[in-house]
Amino acid sequence: MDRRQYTEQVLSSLRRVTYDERESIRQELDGHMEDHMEALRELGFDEQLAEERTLAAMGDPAEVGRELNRQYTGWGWVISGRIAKLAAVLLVVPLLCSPILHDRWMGPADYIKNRLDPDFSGTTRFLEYAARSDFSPDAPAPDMTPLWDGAESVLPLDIRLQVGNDELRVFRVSVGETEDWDTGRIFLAAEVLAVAYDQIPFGLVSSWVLGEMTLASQDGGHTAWCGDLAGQDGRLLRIQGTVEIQPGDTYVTLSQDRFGQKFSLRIPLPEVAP
Amino acid sequence: MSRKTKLPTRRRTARGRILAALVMLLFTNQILHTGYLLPRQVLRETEEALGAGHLRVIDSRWEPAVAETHGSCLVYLAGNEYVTVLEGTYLSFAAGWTSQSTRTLLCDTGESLYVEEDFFTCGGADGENRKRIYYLFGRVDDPDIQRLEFEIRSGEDGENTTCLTSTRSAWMANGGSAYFLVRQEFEGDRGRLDLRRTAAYDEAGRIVTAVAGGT
Amino acid sequence: MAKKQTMDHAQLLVLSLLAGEDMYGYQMIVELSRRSDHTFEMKEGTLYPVLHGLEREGLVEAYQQEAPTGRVRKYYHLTRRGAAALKEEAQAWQTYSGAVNAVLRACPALGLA
Repeated sequence: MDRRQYTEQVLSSLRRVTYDERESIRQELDGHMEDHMEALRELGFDEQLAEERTLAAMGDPAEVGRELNRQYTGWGWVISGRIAKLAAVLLVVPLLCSPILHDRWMGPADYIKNRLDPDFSGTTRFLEYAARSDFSPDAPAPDMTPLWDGAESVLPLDIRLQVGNDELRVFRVSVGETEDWDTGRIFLAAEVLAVAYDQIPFGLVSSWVLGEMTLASQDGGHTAWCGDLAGQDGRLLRIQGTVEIQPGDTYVTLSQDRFGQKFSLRIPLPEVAP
Repeated sequence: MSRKTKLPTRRRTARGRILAALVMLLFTNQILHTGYLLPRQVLRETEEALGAGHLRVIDSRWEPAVAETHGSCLVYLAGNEYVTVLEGTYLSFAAGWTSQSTRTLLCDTGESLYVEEDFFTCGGADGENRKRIYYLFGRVDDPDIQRLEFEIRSGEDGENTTCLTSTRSAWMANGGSAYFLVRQEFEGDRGRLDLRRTAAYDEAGRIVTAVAGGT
Repeated sequence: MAKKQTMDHAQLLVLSLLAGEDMYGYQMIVELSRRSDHTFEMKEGTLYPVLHGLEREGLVEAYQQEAPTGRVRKYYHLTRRGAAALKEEAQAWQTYSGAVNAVLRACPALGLA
């Protein structure tokens, strides 16, 4: 028998070890025998004799293997560890398929940006589509076309309101003239832009409460729906509303009364240069 | 001192892997909103999107063979003072429990009766033995109403009429209101299938209210 | 009869070797032989079942270290639990062997007194 055979015979008695454990034991035994032989070589023994004496000192390989096998009982930890590893690997799949990574309109970076410093970043392409009611380039845009390109006065804001476990954040109001698409009438309007998100980052926001609010002019004479432009994966609402106002109005009101969540937020208007 | 590398034991590797799996699960549930291990988590997701507060589960039913989900579906009737929801959930192949459909009924307008409908398609492929499992659900806020009669239109052009009745004894009391859940199977998966009229009767047989379609 | 220790003597000897410093397998064999003046010369292969058993019970832990020669060896280290177990078992052994010695000394025929 040589060293290799000795180790193989020991390992052959091991029935309850994993592949990694088996290789580790092999290395350990080989290393031990190498150490012993090294010591014998230094004493002047030749290769053959050193190996013989080492093997004799090691003992019966079958017995060593048997005793070693007794120390590895129970597959409990191994099985639970492997199940956990499989679960962790499977859980990567939803990450790869999730809207967080593949949303055409808003990835995680844009989401975080809009929470901290909202400006609807990452959504310009969507807004071009949103302005066309049936998403075709030829359809006329509804009267909620974002005003900001042609707004006469723009006022950046930071009005925050806690609604349920979500936060509503109004970040801009603009005033300017706009045209009614149906009648062609030109009127003065105020546009409010806001975002809404759950208090917990990446949590779901209530689109039923914050996606359908009412925007009213100062005297209450005009009201408009103020709602979510995108409604993609439910994490961030990009809210826009446009309402007709009278010259000289100083505020518009954004309100909601649904599911017990009732609020009425006054949004100051910028001054319009005469 | 040359490099030392610690060697793992069975217990340590297993514990590390279990911890990693739990962290991944938490991330998947909270951030990706998927990979749910329990169907109630799907209901909680609907709660969050509605923003009406906690929804109490009033009833739940197994539908054994729903075509859209290629298998069985657990249907929840849940609600609170503002809203009633019929949610179909199923165990998807790789994404845990998922919502198959959500039908929301707003119940905060002060009416005495709220009704909504939904259906699931059921049965084999290629139109054989297909049928639709039709659900009517809602809430009765008027204590005088003892019986509801529903007129359902079905068939290619809506020529068939089916009448379903539901009495108070079958309704479920929850949070001070009485909720009903009516189930009916209709053959075939083509043609119209909708609620034309709902009539509510008191115990003497007089009509208390009637609504066209659902509310 | 007084209680014999719960651990067999091979495990006790290994634990006591590691109380001083971390060692690898062959080093333990050499050291054991040296300290016991060649009385204990166990079959070297049977050391490893002992070590792996102790590791499984958490009384020792193992790590790999590279020697300057480039050889990578698996070293064993006595854990705190192992140190406590060693103390307890050593004490039990002292008591046991002391009792055996006392009985033997009292035997006039042996002339050990």
